[in-house]
Amino acid sequence: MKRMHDFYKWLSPSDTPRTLDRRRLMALTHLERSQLANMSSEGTWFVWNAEQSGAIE
Amino acid sequence: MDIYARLVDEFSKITHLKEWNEVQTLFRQVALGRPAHWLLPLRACEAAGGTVEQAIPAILAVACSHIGIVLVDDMLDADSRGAHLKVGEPAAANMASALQSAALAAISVCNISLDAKLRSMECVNEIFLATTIGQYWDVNSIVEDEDSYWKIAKAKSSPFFGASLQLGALMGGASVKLSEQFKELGGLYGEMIQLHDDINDTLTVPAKPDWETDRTPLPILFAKLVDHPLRARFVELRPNARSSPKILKEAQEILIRCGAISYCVYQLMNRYETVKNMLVELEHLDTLCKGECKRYEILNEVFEDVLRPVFLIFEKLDKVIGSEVQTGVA
Repeated sequence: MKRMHDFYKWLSPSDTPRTLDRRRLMALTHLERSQLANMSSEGTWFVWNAEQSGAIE
Repeated sequence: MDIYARLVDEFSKITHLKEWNEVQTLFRQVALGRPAHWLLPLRACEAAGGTVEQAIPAILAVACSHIGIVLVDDMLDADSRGAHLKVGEPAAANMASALQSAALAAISVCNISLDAKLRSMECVNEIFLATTIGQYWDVNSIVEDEDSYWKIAKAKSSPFFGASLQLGALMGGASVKLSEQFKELGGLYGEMIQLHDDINDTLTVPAKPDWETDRTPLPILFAKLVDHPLRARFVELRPNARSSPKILKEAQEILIRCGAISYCVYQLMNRYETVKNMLVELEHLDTLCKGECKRYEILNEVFEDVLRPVFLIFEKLDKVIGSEVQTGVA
C-alpha cells in the first residue's frame, strides 16, 4: 500500500497507463466540496447523533 | 424485536445503574439515535452461527462502552455537543466510569461457558485500556509524520471495533482462533471508520476543532507534508480556517485538489481489499455454522456499508470518466 508521498506521485499526471481506480481518485480531486461533504457523514463514531448527543434534561 | 428497545430494557436492569436516573436517561436518548455501530456484535454473532438472543450481552457491552468513550472524548475535544456541558465534567466522568463497569457487568451475568466469558471480559477490558491511551496520545501529541498518525489512529479506533466483532463471535460460539480473526477484521473496520471521521471532520462546515493547529487529521497532514503546488498556501490558511468561512472554503478545496481526500479514499479501498481476502480465507476454515449461515455475505455486507458512500461517488465519476474516454480526453 502506498504512503502519502508515493501516492501523490502515482496520482499525478504521467505517461504510465492509468487504472480505473487511479482515474477515479484523480477525478475526485476535481469535485466540489459540497459533492464530497456527505460522503463520510454517516460513518463517524465519536458522536452518537448530533441531535441526541448531550440531550440530558 | 426492536434491538434498541431491548437494550434500553436490559440496561435498566444492571445492578446499581437501575437506580441512577440520569444515566438511564442518557442511555435511552443515545439509543433513540439507533447508533449503527452497536449492531456490529450482532452481525459477528450471526456470522459465527449464533442468534440475536445470544448477541444481546455483547451488544449491551458495546453500547455501554461506546457511550462511556464518547463522554470522555467530548470532554477531551471540548466538543460543543458533549453531555458534559449539560451535566458538568465531574458528573460526565463519573458516568463514564460507571458505563465501563456496566459493559463488564453485561458480560459477567450472561449465560455462556466460563472460558468464553473470561475471554469476553478480557475483550471488553481491552477496549478501555487501548482506547484511553489512543485518546491520550491524540490530545497530547503533535502528529508530525504519517507513522505517528497511523499509530494514534489504530490505538484510538481499532480496539473498540475489534472487540465489537470479537465479542459477537464469542457469544455466537466461535473458537478462539476464529474470534481472533474477527478481532483483526474489526481492527481494520476501526481504521476505516477513523478515515471517514477524518474526511468528515475536515470537510464539514462550519470548521470543526480538527482545524486547530494542535490537531492533525490525515487530510491535513497530507496537505502539510506532501510537496504539491498549493502546500505553502495551505500552511498559510490553516491557522485561520476556523475564524473565516472564506478561508475554510479555500483550505478545504486545497484538500480536495491536492489529493488529500483521494488519499483517504485510497486507504479505505485498500483496507476493503484486504478484508475481502481475509473473508475468503475465513470461508475455508472449519465452520461452526454447519453450512447454515452465510459468513462471507454477512461480514462482507458490514464492510460494504462502510464503502457504500465511496461507491456511490465512483458511480457518478465513472459516467464522467467514460465520456472522457469516448471523446478522447485523458
